[in-house]
Amino acid sequence: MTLVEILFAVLASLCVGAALFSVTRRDARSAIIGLTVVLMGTAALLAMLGATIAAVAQVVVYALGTVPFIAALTRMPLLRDGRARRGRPRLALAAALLGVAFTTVMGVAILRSVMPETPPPREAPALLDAAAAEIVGRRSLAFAALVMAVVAALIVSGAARRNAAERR
Amino acid sequence: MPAEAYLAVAAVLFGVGLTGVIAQGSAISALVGTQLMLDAAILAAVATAGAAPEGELVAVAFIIAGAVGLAIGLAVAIDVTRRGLGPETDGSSGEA
Repeated sequence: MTLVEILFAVLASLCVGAALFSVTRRDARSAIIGLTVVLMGTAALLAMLGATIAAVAQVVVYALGTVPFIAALTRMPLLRDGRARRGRPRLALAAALLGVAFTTVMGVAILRSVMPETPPPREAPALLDAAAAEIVGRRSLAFAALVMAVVAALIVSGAARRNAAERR
Repeated sequence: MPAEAYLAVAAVLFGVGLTGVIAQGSAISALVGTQLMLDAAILAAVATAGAAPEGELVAVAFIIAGAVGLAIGLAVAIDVTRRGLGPETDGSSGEA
């Protein structure tokens, strides 16, 4: 197993696990933390595919814009949904079955489809590379990862502070 | 890594997001599920595009569209909540 395969397995597991965590939480803050992890993992997968600009755009748009915005909104009393509302077991079961069926059908379709065995190495498109070099520079991914980590840490610390305050 | 592996991850993410949108009654959960499905679409677009730059351009467009859609969804959720209907999407009052 190569290092790339190990990295892919780790990132894919992280994404799927965080997605499951995100959709099974009734608390909005937990769901948003899970969504943040999924976005970060998907950005890393995009970077592994060579789509550097898309990865940076994802991290910057969501980490700097959307996720903190939602996190701030969930602090508003009108959107706090931590009342542990009873779910709808029948609908939840049907939805889970539908999701599993969809994933299975997609998986079979993917496995049976004729895809190129390995995506050819991306030849740097001159326009995109020039734009990336001009806009974000060579250390863009490291910067984006750092920004994402700081934002995630802020969200987690805010949630912890809020939990502590509620306990008091 | 073969493109099928990325597509498989995208399919699983889409299935999980679909499950979240249907199963949960909260507007926030529905928005999170929608974002998961959009994320899966972005990953699939880039994986299938291979070396072509169109996939990346489509991905960037999806990211921007997703951020805008999320903002609109939140605005709708806030407006609905202010009208006293609660952030739930199934018509329940939110009481346990």
